[in-house]
Amino acid sequence: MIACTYGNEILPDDIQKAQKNDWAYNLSKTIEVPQTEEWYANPIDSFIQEKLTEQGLLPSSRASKKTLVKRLYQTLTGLAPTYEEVQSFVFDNDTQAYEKLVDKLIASPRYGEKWGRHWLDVARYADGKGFSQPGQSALFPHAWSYRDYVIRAFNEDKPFNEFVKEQLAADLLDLKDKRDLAALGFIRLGQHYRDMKERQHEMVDVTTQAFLGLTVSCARCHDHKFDPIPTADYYSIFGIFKSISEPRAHDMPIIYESPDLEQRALFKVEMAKQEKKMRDFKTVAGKKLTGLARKYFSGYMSRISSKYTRKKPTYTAMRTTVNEFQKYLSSPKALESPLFKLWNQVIHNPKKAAEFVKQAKASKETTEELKTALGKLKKFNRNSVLDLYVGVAKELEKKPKKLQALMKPFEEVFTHHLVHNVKDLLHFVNSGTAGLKPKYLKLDLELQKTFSHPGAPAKAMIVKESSRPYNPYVFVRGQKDVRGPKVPRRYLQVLSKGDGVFKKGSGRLELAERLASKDNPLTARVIVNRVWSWNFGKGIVRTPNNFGALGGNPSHPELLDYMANWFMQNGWSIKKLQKMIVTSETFKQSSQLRPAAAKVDGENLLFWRKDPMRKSWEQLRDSIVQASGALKHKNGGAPIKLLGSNEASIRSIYGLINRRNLEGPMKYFDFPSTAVTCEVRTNTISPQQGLFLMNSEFSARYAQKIAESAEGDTDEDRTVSIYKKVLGRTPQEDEKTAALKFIGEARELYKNTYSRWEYGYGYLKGDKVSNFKPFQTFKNGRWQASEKYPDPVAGYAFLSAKGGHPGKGKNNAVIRRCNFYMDGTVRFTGKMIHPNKRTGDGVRVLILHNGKKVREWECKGKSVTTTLGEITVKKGDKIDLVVEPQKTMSGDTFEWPMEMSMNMNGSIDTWSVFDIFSNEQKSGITYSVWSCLAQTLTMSNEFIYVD
Amino acid sequence: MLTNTDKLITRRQWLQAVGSGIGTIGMASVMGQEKASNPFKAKPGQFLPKAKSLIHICINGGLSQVDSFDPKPLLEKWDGKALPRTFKTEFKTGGAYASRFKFKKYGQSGMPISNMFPHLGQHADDICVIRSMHTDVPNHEPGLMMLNTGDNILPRPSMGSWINYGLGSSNQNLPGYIVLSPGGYPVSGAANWRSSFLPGIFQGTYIDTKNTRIDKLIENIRNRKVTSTIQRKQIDLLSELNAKHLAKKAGEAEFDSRMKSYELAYNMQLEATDAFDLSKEPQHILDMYGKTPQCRQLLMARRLVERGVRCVQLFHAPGNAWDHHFDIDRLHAKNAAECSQGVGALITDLKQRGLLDDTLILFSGEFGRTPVVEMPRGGAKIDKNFKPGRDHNHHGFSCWLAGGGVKGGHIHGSTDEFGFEAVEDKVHVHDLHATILKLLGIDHEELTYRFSGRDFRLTDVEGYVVNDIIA
Repeated sequence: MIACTYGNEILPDDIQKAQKNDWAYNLSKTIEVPQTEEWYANPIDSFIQEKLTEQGLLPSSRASKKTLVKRLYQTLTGLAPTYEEVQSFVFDNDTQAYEKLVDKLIASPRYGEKWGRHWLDVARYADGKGFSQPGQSALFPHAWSYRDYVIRAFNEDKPFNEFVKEQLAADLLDLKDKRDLAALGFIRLGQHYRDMKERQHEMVDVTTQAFLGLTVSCARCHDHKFDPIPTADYYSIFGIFKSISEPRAHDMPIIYESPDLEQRALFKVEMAKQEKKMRDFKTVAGKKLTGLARKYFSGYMSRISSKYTRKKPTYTAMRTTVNEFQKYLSSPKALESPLFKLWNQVIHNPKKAAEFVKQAKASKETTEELKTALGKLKKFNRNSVLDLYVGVAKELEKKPKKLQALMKPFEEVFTHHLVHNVKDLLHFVNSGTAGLKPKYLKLDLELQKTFSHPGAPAKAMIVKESSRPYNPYVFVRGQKDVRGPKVPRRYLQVLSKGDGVFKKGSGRLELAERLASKDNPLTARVIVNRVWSWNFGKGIVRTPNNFGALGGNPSHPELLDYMANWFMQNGWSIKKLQKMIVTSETFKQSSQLRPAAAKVDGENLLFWRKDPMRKSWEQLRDSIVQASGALKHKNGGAPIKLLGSNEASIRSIYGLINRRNLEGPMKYFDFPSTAVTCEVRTNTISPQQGLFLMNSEFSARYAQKIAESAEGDTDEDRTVSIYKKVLGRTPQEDEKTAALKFIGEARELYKNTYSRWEYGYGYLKGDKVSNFKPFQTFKNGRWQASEKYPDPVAGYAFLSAKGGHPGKGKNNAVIRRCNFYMDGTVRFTGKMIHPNKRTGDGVRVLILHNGKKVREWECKGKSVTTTLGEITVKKGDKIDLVVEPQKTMSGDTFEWPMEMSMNMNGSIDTWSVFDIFSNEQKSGITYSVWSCLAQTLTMSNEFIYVD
Repeated sequence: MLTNTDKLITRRQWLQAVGSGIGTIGMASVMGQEKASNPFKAKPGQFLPKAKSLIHICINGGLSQVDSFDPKPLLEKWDGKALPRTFKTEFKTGGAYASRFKFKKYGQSGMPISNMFPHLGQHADDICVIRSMHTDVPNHEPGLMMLNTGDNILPRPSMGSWINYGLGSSNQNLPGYIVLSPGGYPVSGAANWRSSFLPGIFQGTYIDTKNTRIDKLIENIRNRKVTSTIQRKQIDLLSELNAKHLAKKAGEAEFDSRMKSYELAYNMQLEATDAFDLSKEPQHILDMYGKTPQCRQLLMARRLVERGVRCVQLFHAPGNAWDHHFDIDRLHAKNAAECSQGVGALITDLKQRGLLDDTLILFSGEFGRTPVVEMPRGGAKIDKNFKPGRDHNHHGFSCWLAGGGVKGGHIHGSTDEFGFEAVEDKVHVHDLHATILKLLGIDHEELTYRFSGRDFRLTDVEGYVVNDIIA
């Protein structure tokens, strides 16, 4: 139970007591390595040994070299060693071999891809916002620059204190490398809410948990119940985040171009296209808006005149355009106008109004309507002239052509202004007056989406200090409409020596500096604990985001403190810390479960063995792709959707993370929700995981690739080859026997496959098929009559996986024929899709059993359900799926995604015609027995766990 | 996560201390990296449960209470006139709008139900109407979030996730929390059934009931590469290889569980296909439910709870299906016609199978609607073309429960004389949650998960069990 809790209020005294006494707020700088009976080179082992001895436990023996090499590769790079890499390590007798391997792997670019991902969990990284208003982008188009920054930081071993500072205040630091601006993504990448005010609260939450391991958020509505954090502290930190401004995507700086030159060029083309669209739109919009001045011309004149004459204007809308028009009228440019010259003169020099009128009357240039009106004018002063103009304007409204000519100079100036001054244009567009908003939003969205192009440059999702920092006050009980006392922007009191009040700007830089300071008792311990937990599967403090009273008590507080001090003395180097951990005997222990030890410490809190760890979703997927030999290394860039038909064989860290809807397997393989910071990934076992590995497209695709790349002529050699690829070892005798037995049996089953398909064309006579002719040529994914297309006889007849096209006349119906090799019952479900409404006369669709019609449908320009109940079939039977043209075959392209379920004594198999489609005639299923074997190994515990 | 284990021990000690032996709660020890096991294993709660599973028929968009379950004859006197007392509403509202639906009293209890739901009358003595519901915000998103997750704004686990976390599921071959909606998501989408900080596996499995094909219904349910005979051989080989591996890793319980999980997955292929295949139902059952997608998914719900699925949630249709600011008489009637027969059939069907006692049905939207008319928007006038509707109302609304240990034929609480605000025996959504958990055998104060430094609950720091409605 909790030893100490606070009442309703935390008093200054409580804070002082905590500063003095609580482990969390005190980092002892002088920790001595315990003296153990056995001497260890690595201090970690001495600390671990001491606790084990206390409990009468012994550490486990060292794991085998085979295990160690796999463990090291997986831990440091998230990938498996190849068979050859395993062998070369196992037979390397160099006493330094292990250390050399550690150095090699830590230096590999793959290291950052594994370890950067760990930090991305903490940073609740996602490419999607999680909530977006209609018309807004659902993604952060530039989030990936942060992901790439994190990978680079780990690869370059950026000192952790720098890493902390950059993520909170890169904009306020003197950066050597402007790519580091991307670090600020940390602040902005959180979950979006309908209520955008939640976002700054989220920033407080992620910052304090990620760096300090403190749940400051608990103090949002009341003083923290268990930790010395008063509500005032919460709002002090809140004030800092409330003082940032978040530039729009357009205003985010480009920090570097895509390294992929080819893609970069493609992006430029795409971008130019989008920009042109936008420019064209702006020109159109600009013209439309400037045209309004013509439409409401007299209104405009009255509105402008009224500013001088103080008469009530007849028109009040569109203030901004009116102002722009007035600017033009008052500018020297107007002096060139046969209409506005007089107006301009009178405004600037009202005393000489009479003189100007006289000149205007006399001038040949003056517009006729103005002249006529002037002829009737009695008074010659400014106001009378201005009034006169309203009348003239009304007159001119009746003569649109003339008015257009007169207004042209203004419209040119103004359109240009609008196109280049986006702010004014947006003002109009957003006012909705001209109905331009939806179009604008669409173009803007497209423009933003262009940045998802693989050749897009990286833009940093920066924040800036707002011009005037926000002065926070407490929201009583967390309610934003109930104001409590004002609080300064400052650091948490329990971590402050003085008053902790920040003085520079919003205090964000000072906050970053305090967090990254050696005097901070938490930051180093929190990250050291995380690194430990990512190596061992659990931390020394088992709640890495919570070092407070409700967090888990540290199992080895002295070890943690020792490592934290060591870490800071060693330049906050994650790689050095990493090396210290993985070279310890503690890390090298065998994972073997020892019942006696388990009895004393069932959860292995004392680290008497190395726990086996289930591969994360990323590790699992990457290992499968890697085993197939298809893994492509990618140097950062815009995210790619990982699953689906366009899947790229890249590492999972570069896949799209859509916060609103994670991909299925990410959910069931325990990928974090990304709505909040993730301290430890959960570990579940569920049938959905099994279904994914057994049945998904992904799993089948890569198993097939593994099988295709397997070497050897004999079954035995191929089995060995597949074992090497998937498990990095050769099979043992009994395993080999089991695998070969499976191969043999499966092959037998394949031989006896119950159906084989043929693709051809033929003639229907009295609804029976006569003269079925198999297609002879397979080309571009289609079966057709001959090399020549259209064929002189069959014409346009072809069949593809999904559909096809009949040939000319009754002779040339296209036919998918299923030959049965077993008895059973079959059902068909599906629909004929014949999209062409306009030309031709449609098709006749038939299902025949042994040449006799079972059902038929007619279909033109629509889709027709072609589902059929049970048909009993015997060995040797045939079922034909026939599409016959009517009088003409024009426009008869069709899709016919039919599915066949066959029930053989209660065992049901279901296929669609495109699953079975093949470039071989009379073929059955194409997935080989070897693919099955490879897939089986990727489902094994040995593959799924890191030993 | 050690914290969960800590909690488990503490709770176990607590249970021992109070002399209760019913068991422990939550997933606790299964979550740590070192000890994963099947999270769906059925687990007992703290109380003897009245119900084993929950069917939530979500009237997303907001059902008008004065037109369905909360008759207000007084409105007729005030029809078209400004009420003496009114509330701030989301949009501009006008005078009272008396219900155009007809109420009739049904059953021994004489419960009034309007002709909007003609198939419910026969079950008047089975259902328990709460007329005094209220919630915090009159907007759909926060309203639905409150109803489904217990928080208006922050991403919290859904009720279905909590219940599965607490109780597991008695059928290992199907997901424990299944969400049905024809044609797409309601507003806020998957947030309505998310697991948030609970393990991802407790998230609701969404199924678009517009589809009739099983492989569209559940991801990866069907293998398209090999025959089922070959797949059987494959799983056998896998078991053999895993067993050899396990022999060298004696005592590794997690390896054993994972081995078995493939067997579950294999069986699920058949079981799930079966569960969603309505063609297996006899014609008279199909006829009893009716043909609309809403009715079909109600039948699906019965098939699922019958197979031990813990929570089934049904949304009427995508978006805000019941959100009728205008033309409410026609549109509410249309929606009701789509589901009324199915809802009536569900109760009849569960009853005739003896399942109603084990199944708790909740029929509720995120809030109700105003007894006053909503004014036309965008400068439109009230003329002969104006079709009246009602605005959102979170001050008071009705929901009902049936089966699973609730008092049938019972009406709990009331709204004011106009049906605007809950006044008597008010029930907040938090209280409804607490009560539902209790009926399922869970103490809502004990079902917690340690996250972000504190123990979270579905009911947060609120919630009182409404004992009055429990039989």
